[in-house]
Amino acid sequence: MRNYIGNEITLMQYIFLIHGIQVGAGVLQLPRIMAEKVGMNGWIPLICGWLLSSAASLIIIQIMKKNPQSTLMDLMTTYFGKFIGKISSILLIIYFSIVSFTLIQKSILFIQVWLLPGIPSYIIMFLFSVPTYIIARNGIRIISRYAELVFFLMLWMPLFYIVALNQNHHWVHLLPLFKNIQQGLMATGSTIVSFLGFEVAFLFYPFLKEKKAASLGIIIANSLSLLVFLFVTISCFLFFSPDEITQYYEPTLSMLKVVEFRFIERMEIIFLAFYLFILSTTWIPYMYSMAFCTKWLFNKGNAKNYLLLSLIFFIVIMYFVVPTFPGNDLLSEFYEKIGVIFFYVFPVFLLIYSFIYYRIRGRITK
Amino acid sequence: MKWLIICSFLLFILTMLSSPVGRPLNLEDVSFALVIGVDLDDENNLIFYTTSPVFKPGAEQENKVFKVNAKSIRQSREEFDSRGTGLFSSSKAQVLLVGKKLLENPRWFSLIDVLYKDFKTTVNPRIVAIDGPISNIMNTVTENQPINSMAVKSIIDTSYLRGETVKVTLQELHRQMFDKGLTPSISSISTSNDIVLTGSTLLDEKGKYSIELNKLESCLLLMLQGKKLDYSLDIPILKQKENNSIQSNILSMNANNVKIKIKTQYINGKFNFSIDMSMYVMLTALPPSYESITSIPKLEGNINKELQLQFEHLIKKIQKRKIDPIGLGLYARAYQNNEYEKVKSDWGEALKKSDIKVSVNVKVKTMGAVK
Repeated sequence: MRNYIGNEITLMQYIFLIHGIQVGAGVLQLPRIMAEKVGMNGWIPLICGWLLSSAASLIIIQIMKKNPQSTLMDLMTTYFGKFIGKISSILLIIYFSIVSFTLIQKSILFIQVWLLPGIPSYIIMFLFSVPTYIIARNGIRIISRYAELVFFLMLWMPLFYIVALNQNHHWVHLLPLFKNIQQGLMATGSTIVSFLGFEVAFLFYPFLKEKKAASLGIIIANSLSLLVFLFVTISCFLFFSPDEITQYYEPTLSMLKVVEFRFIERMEIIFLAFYLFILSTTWIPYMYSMAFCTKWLFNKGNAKNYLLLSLIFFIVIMYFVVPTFPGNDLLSEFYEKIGVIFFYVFPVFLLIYSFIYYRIRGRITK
Repeated sequence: MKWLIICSFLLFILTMLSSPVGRPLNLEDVSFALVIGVDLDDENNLIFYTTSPVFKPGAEQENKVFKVNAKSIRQSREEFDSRGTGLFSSSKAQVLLVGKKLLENPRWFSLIDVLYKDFKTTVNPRIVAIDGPISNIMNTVTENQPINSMAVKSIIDTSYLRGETVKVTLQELHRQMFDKGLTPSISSISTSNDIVLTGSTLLDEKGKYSIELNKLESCLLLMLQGKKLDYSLDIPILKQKENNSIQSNILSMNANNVKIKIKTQYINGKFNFSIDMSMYVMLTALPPSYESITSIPKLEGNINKELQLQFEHLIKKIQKRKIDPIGLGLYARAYQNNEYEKVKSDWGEALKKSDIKVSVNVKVKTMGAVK
């Protein structure tokens, strides 16, 4: 068992860390995906997704509770032996690297089409990697503090949506409230991936100072994310007609195009620039998780060197493979599938296994 | 190791600086297309107009007008580029003028599709139907407005405050075009003699020109749409013909606090809308026939009757043409969803068959400063 003391995070930091990971690039497209799947009843799958993700997070906390000083890889080693432990860390490294790569690529694509057309993606990647490295090299505590700061810095953002809604909103769009419940329940599969992000509890639970409040904290994080998702989805539904919303790729941004003040136009561009902060709280923890798992696998070196290596690797990939939206969508679909299996299905089995494991071991020690 | 990282870092910055990207586009090299005008000429060729401001103190013309023939907006931009000194950008467009002749062609909307697709363009330009040659508007120099695009924009924005015309931006037009329970309505300006706002133009579900509304009808339409504005209404009371050029048979009032309730029912195979409207009015001119009325409830009753007559007239007009600028389809979708789903592909026909009743409830706030 390894020692993780000395880098603890408070409950608040833990909440905002998870919330920050959950709310990211997905919010930009979420209203469209909901409208495509269930029309104007998009809030039903969101609430169902929240229930499922909360259940999954509670299961993860239950698993972690039994060995409060170990991460998922340590747990796998205790339960199944060294070999499986190593394999699990390799799988996690692959997952985290795909996720962080996809998310950074997505952010770069948004920046390219809305803000900086004509700047190649590897240069934007380079510009992103400098602050990412500066924040993430200091470990989980600084990352969590950053997430907390960003949350409070960005609290003004909903105001813009209210300004846009003030120009044009139609409550009748939301009715009938319960038009297709069945379809709504079926579409839950596409919302649970929006809540992915609670899985970092597998890695960072040992760092949490107040371990008793871990369950409460993760539920609060999930609920905060649900609030953001609901707010954005319902604002878009009020603003766009049900027949037209599916035509916008990023309704969340397109909606802000109408915001115009006497002294400034094109607010959505400024908004997206600020939105980079929110996007960064998604990929920075994921990149750090990747470095963290790599360090665990080799059991030597420093996480920040692995982080630097992967950032350079990303820049090189961006140089040779120009990112495109369709390619990025394929990547996200891929990681979402893995994520659902790893963090919604697998924890259930792990929990059952740990019950049996402790039963048997308890009997042996008696 | 550290040296290696620093060296590669510096190398990267060097390559970045030397790479031919991020060439800035200077403001002097951009021509802002403030007005985009599209029309058909006599031989049915598309003509595009634009104006761009000239940033030069003491320049003779404050803005330069361009007119080209092209097949699409994109192509017209290339033509403009080869005529103007800078690269044309529509990211600051203020108004989009569409000729009435072009509106007769149901495919005109596909022309402006590029404005929605491009990330750089704004969705805020007001869209205006132009009756008469567009060149008149482009070449007119208005005295107190330096740029004629601003003049058109402020005509619409200020008239909208009194409810004389609808204010529809590109974003709103997109909604009205694609929502199946709603047909578009845009502002209209006549340029035949003078540049005058004439009211609103209604389009059918495909975007084809359908009918024009005058200012009073636009006002009633906005009320039915539930817009919160300070309306100013001039209702002609048709009792007897007068030869005097100063008409006294006009009931003038300002209406505000317009509240609207729409009840939707489905009875005997047709939709049934009952629209309840309440508002506060300030009377500004009364026709002679009203002067004898002293009791306020009776006065209110008379005004209600006049308004109801006007509303019914307007509703008959739009039902006849199978269009729905009010957006009753939205209510049908919300409250009678099962029935609406059956007819949504041909909502205009269903609306034509449906019963629409308007009842107005006016509260007189003041009779004016003098009796």
